[in-house]
Amino acid sequence: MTFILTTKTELFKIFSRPRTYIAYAAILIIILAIQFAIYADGQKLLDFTTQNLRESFDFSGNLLNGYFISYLILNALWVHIPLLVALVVGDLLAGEANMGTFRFILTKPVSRMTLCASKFIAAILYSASLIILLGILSLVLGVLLFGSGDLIVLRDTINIFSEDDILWRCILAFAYGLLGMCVVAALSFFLSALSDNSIGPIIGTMTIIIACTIFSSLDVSIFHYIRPFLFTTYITEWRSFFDYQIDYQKLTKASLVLLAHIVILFSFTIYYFNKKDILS
Amino acid sequence: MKKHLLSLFLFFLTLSAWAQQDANSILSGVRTNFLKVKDYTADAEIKVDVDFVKIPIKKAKVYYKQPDKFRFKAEGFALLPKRGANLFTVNLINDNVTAIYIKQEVIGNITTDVIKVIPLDPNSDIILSTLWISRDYKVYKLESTTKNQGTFSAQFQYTNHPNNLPAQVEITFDIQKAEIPVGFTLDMESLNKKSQSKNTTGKATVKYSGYLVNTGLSDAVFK
Repeated sequence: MTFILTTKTELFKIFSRPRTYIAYAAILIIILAIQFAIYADGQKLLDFTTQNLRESFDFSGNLLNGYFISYLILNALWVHIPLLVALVVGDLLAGEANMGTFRFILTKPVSRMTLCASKFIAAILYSASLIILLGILSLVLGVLLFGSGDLIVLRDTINIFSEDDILWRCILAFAYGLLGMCVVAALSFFLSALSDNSIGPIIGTMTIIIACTIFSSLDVSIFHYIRPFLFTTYITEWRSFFDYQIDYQKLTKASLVLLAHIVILFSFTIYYFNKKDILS
Repeated sequence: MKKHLLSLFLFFLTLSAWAQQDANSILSGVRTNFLKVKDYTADAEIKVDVDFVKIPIKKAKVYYKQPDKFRFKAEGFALLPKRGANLFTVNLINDNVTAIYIKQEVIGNITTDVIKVIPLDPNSDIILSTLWISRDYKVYKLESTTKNQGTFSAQFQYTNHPNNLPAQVEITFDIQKAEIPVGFTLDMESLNKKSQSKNTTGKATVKYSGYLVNTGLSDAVFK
């Protein structure tokens, strides 16, 4: 009961801060901007992309539809969502330390473990709300503006999925995306416990993500050994749900690695926070 | 001696002219069959097999009207090979071609005449075609070389349709691998992937059923 109450309080605190709404506004603006751009120029781009195919085939049907726009938006935003997550989660512990409110909170009969877990659950719920908003806005607005139809996914192969084969892929991709964002939240939360001001964890989270993304992406042999241990190697695997033959074994492994990151980072946070000397 | 040589030359000339006429008469037979079909509508099931394109089997409705109007409408999105899926739109069975009889060949258990066809229209994309035509003037096989799109071939299977319309067409064609701009897909992972060979061979199988022939199809269908 105490845990639920504390979590509610933490959620209230998150949603009382103006910075929380920056993320929602950013998502809304970016989605609208991308949809407007695709509305204006998307057909030309799609025609250019499928030019070779058009020389050999006649096309029938609408490829520039809501599902395609949603997939493009997901591709565009996966880089930016971590920043929006870190912006709020990085402040959860460091912000309290900065404002000197820890001593007041911890005088109440709430254990440090409960407080820490409540804040983390609130962070996860906030991240989930971002992903859900992203999903609903991109899909619903996309379908409203562009209509529905089959989905074309332009990866190393051109994959075309029937309309009745798309939604479950989108839901699983968003769910996997949320798991990835939970790792970012756990990292940011851990850095927040280490710091006494919120700028450090936000910048720290982004720096780690950028560095790890470079290590994961660069095809240099020295990085091959560390690549399997980096969460950035797996964070983009949501795209695999749009492969024609989904490699569930690979996805299970990726999900387990991400889960392990969450558990390890959260455990470190609890351990550090329990030992932390609250001085302000 | 001179008389014998002249006779031999005239014999080969006559033989050649006869063969030439034979090829033309076979093509004419096919043309007569085609002309009986003013228009048709059919259900099609399209299976595309290209290594860089993954698409499920699609159902579509195809429409044809003489001389060369063709359209297909699919449930959702579908691809249909531009060449070979509909023999009526392959511009070979007209007067503006040179036809040469090659030989007889058996396809399955059907005896066919093999004819080379050269379109005389300088704007024709097809340079040379080979047709395998049965004695009842059905085209069983087609191989064409084009100016810009490499070669394609089509194999036709028939049931007992009164208008000799095919039940299945299997098309093999050359295709260039699509270069997908990363800026559009934003899929940075693909940058690391080694690009595959640019040219490849594709295959498509189109199964036709439910033909409705000569129903007086409106031109509006093709707009």
